[in-house]
Amino acid sequence: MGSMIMLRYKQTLGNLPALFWAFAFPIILCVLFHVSFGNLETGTFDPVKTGVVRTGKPSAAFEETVKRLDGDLLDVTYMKEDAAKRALKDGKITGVIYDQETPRLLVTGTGISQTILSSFLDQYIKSVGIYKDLARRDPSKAQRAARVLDEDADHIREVSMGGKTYDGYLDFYFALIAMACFFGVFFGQTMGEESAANASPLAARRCVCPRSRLLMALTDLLICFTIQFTCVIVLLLFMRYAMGIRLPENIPMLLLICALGCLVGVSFGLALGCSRLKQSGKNALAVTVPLVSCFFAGLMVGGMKYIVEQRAPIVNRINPAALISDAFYYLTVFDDPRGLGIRLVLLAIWAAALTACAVNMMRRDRYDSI
Amino acid sequence: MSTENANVVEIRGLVKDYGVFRAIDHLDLTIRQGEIFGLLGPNGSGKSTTIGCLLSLLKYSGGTIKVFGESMSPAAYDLKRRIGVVFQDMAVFDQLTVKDNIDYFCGLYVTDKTARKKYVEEAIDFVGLGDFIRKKPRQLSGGLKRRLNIACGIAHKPDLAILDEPTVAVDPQSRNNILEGIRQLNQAGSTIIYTSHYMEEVEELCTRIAIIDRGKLIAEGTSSELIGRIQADETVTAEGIQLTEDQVRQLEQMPIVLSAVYNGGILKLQLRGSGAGLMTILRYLEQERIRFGRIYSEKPTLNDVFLELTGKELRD
Repeated sequence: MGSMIMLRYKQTLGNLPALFWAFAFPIILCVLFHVSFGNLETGTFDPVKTGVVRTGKPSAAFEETVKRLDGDLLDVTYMKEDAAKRALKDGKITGVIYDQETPRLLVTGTGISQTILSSFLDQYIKSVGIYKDLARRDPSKAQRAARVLDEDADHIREVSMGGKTYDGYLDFYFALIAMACFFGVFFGQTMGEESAANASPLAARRCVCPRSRLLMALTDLLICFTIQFTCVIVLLLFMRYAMGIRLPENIPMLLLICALGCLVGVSFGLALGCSRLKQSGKNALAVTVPLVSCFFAGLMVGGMKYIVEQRAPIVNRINPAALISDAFYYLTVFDDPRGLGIRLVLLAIWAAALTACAVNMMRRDRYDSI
Repeated sequence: MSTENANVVEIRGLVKDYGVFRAIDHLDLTIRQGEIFGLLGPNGSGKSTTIGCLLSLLKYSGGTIKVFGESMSPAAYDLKRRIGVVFQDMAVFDQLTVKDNIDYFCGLYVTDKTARKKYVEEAIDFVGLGDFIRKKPRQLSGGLKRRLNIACGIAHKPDLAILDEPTVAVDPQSRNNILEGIRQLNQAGSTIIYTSHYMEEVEELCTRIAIIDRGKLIAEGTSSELIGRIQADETVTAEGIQLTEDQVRQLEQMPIVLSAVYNGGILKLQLRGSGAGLMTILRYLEQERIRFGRIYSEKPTLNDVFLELTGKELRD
């Protein structure tokens, strides 16, 4: 059995197109990113320069919250409206917050800083709304609610910073790792086509041999997974030591995220290979699905993930590439075990569902037609 | 398998439907030990489907299949271990060398390393690929690839070898090599099921033949038994010949002529009785001063059997 597995490894590694996409292409893309971004990716997080304009009756609660975040998350300057607009136009500040009963935000562009401002304001407005609602319905709990909201304000600061540095270009690298994991689809697709008797004569020959189909399916999955996982580890080592990119320091968690990501990519490929789709359809899906998934995770357009988060957050919760990228982000930038945990669970659900689907298709031993 | 002529394969009432299309229609086949059993039929007649059902790769709608006296199923590993299959299309790994391919597929059947090594070497010798063991399939010619395909299917020395059109698109030299190899495999003790739409091959190689068309068994027997079933003893063909309708009618009315077909300057006559048929026809043409390009006589073939039974050519 051992020598058979070695031959299968040898055969799978001989699949040069898949090896290129899974191994070489992410490294090439990483080098290109590095060349494009130059030294811009190093540096620490700077508080977002924000102009605050008092209009009408300022909110004491808002001013208190802003005061607490000033210097950490925000760099606040109180200004007149005209001056604030001029500063915004000149790029001296990122956004203008109108301090009024319901604060309002004015920004002129999109980006991480604008997203932070927007998120902060959304969170504040939501929290105040909850507090007011609670106070109206049950005044006895208002004090407790105020305490919770107070903690929430601290939480905003902690989650946003966590004492860690922020690197605006990490998003690209995280999406790149997600893509590398997902590109296991190419090994998976080929192996799937070698497993389902209705996909190729080679698979039919393997199907008629006196071996358990389940055992063969699991062996194939394991071979595919280990090769892809190794490719991703090499990519991580290359990023860390050759490119000097800062990656999460929590190695076990880092490997767990990559392992789940690889399982998603490989299983998707295996299921695709076993499917009855035409070859051209399989090839198209093998390329399109990972790339679209990575596009929404921010591989091609910076800030895409944040745009999606603003407009359709559910997409970020079901997009495996966004989950991988988010998990890395939480691990590197945020100290939010809950957020990380949610993403890991969602990723694990994807991996389990796709693996079950792929193994079930691969272990099939009888067909309606071949 | 103790008796000489024990049944290796028994197919009874096999039915396979693809939706409303019936691909196999109540097929009965019995294949005995030691035979080279030919499954002959035109493309789409149901040969490969029958093999797919026999191997438990395909679900079937009705009937029973027994191999070595036991019901065949996907989990019948003991039966599968005794079967070797060579599919019509190439079924090898492009990334592995000739030797690694044979080793891999042999290893799916033979777990003992020492035995496997011996089997692999014997299979390489058997198909004459000794000079190519380090080559990859893409570096081989079409004929050599076919030989590799065969070696991968029979390296584990199966008791029953199923070869599904193994000589499609193969040059004559490789074809002879393959056919000779099949004979040797049979002499070494394997029962062979050989499917083809090349009647010459089947006629030359097989000890017993089943002709199927549209999923039905039309005839079964040895080559001479099948040919003996048709009325014609000889076919005379004259090419480059010009005949009037009267002359064709006169030919049809000759006592030895069973049928006469004249089309596009070619006259084809089915004759009864053996020996003098060609001379009789030549005398008639001379007497009528009819000119022709060439004329020749042939013994009936399986194609004539197929033609008589189905009204169409085997290669239609």
